[in-house]
Amino acid sequence: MIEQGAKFFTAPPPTTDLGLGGIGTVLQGSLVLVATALAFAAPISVLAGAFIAFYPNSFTARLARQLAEVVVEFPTIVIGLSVFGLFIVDLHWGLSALTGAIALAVVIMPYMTIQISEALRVPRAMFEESLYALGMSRLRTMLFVMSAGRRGLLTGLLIGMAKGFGETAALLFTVTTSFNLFFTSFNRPVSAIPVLIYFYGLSPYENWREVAWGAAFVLTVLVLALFSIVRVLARGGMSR
Amino acid sequence: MNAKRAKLEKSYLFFLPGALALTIIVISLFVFLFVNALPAFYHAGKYVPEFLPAIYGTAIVTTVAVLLAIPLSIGLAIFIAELSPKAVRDVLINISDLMAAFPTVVYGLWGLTELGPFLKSTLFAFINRYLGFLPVFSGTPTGVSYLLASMVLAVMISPFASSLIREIYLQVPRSLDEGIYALGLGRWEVVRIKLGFIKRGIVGALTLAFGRAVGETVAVAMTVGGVVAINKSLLSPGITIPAYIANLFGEAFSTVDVASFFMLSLILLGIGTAFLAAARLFIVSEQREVRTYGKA
Amino acid sequence: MSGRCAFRIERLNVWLDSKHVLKDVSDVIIPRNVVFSIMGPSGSGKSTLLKTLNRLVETYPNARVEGKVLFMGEDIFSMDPVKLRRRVGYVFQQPNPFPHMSIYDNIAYPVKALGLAKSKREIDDIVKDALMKANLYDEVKDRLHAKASALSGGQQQRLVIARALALRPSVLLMDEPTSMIDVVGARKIEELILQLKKEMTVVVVTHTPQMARRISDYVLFLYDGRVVEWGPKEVMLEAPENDLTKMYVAGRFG
Repeated sequence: MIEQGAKFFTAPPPTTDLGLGGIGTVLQGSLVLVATALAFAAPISVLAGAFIAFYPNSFTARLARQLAEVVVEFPTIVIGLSVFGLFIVDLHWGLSALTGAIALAVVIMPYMTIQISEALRVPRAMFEESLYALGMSRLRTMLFVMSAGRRGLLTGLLIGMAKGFGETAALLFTVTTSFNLFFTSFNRPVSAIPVLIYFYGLSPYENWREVAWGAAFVLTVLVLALFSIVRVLARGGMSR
Repeated sequence: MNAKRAKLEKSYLFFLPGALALTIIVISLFVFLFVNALPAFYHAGKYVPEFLPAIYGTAIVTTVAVLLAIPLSIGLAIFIAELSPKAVRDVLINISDLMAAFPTVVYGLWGLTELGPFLKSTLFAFINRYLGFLPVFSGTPTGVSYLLASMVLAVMISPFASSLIREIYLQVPRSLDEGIYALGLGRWEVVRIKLGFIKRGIVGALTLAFGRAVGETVAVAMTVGGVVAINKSLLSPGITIPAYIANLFGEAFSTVDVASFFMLSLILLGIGTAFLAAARLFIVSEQREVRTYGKA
Repeated sequence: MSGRCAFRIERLNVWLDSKHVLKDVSDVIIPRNVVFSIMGPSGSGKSTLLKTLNRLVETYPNARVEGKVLFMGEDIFSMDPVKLRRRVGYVFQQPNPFPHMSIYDNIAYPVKALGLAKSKREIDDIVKDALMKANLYDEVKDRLHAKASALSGGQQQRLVIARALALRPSVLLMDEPTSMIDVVGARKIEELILQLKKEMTVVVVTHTPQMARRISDYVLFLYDGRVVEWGPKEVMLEAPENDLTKMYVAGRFG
């Protein structure tokens, strides 16, 4: 299935039906997209997750939680479609790295929010009362609980990242299908690993399919690595 | 009184924007979908016949996938819960959770390039030869088909369904187990009776899997064939709603039919949500039954 | 002598999770066709003793059993536990029928699964017979196919008894069978126990000395895992030898 050299990681993929090339463009594209998506989604998820965890009875929190749970089950292609429709068509932004990142962000945000709110529940129950008894203000308490629960927070973010790397459907419309371009600026289109796998896998060219497998291998390793980190984190948290 | 004061605290205001942002984004998503789909509703009569193959395909592929997943998920759940030794158990649970969260493209690629050709010349040919007189298995098997997509989908949804079933299974009170052993019955009877006990939960888990499977795009799109037609044989290619949107949207982009795709999306959403809501009802009623057992 | 009694226990010791629950239970003989009560404060090991008699205690992961128990002259630890449990029935404190199955199936399923009968008519007869023996038939004869969960607590317990009786055991072990049931249902079950002893031996863990007085022929007093004394009811409840027994019977503790 996979037999390339180190060049595989940097070179652009083949455009003709000969040769092997590499996945450099999409690798870089995915990294950029996921990083940007996290930059958008992580703060919102963390804040929203914390809000839901600490004020579970407020109307806003309950609403946010319900909405998150509904959207989490959405077919991601619908999300991609909507982002496409809104930003690319209506606002005439055109395909760009930004639209792809936004689509990814919308996909991973609800999931991370729920993860984080769950991760904070236990530390909150454990520490909140004793901290108040010590006379700490509400804000300090919340920050302390978040710090105590940072393993769970990190887990949520890592899983969101893994999902971002593997997400295909949301990107189908928001990312370019010409895979030869390296990332230049946020206004220019960019591509991603899973999209490459999708298109190249479906193509009739033998060598393109091999590239798809190579990309699949890289993606698998990446996702496995992220999940292993999560597993290590989870185990470390139980030692107390 | 305390709540009102709490609302004006620093910390509340600090975190509130996050929740508000999430809410606003999700709501605008919904609004956007509806607004864009509206024009298509007026001409619904024109569009629905075009979408029929996709709706048909979604129904077929998802249903067959869930049917295939029944033995897989229940079998795996029971194996982990009752039959496997402790060391193996954790490994299996980890692998199962990993499979559930894996990028779907890889499943699709595997299905398309490895499983498809393999099955085409072995299992599918076999089915076609002996059961080909049935319309559902007629025609020459191709490398992509409803059945292939169903099988890949089944493999994808089984780990999740199985972990749900396993959790529900483990919640059955021990007094039921003991009562069965006390009658002189053995392990298989225990399994059979407990499965009967959690019937509703199993249905709920599978309905949940159905609801999620309906929206699966990539793996299905790669293995179903992208042929926009209603084919009666499971061994021939077809199309499902998400695959339809994925493949054809690029062409329709330039025409005015954009709205129709939004309407199709809403249909997809509707189907998925209906099943997910039904699933939740099943699971809730199941929990109630478990909790009140033995309390006469 | 050994062939004529239901159980004979010698030097029995049981540990659960390294806790020594039953300590040197010896010289206990449970005769046939009697009601034999085991009484004692909670935590004294009564349930464990009962569960040892049908080897159910061995299904607990950290259980250790040493000693000798003879059932009708046979060593139970060399028997197949499954075969033992068909001859020795067990009724739990908490009624545990199969709630999702019908009243009929609750009895029919074990019968079928154990191969005790094949044809529908045979099974129908067994079900009716068992329900009558458990004094439940009249109350449910019109709704045999209703779900077991629809019955009241007392009725469910009698269904469980019927289920056990359908296997025609020679001994019935009952662990505080009435402590979770209402007063009326409890009385019906106590009457049932008195009837059953004509056909089999009944070993009952009772949660009060008053219940022991009402139904037993023999009583055994278990305290902190040890047999304090045992004997015929009249001796045990009116004029026991041991002071501890005297105090328990008088209601001083437990």
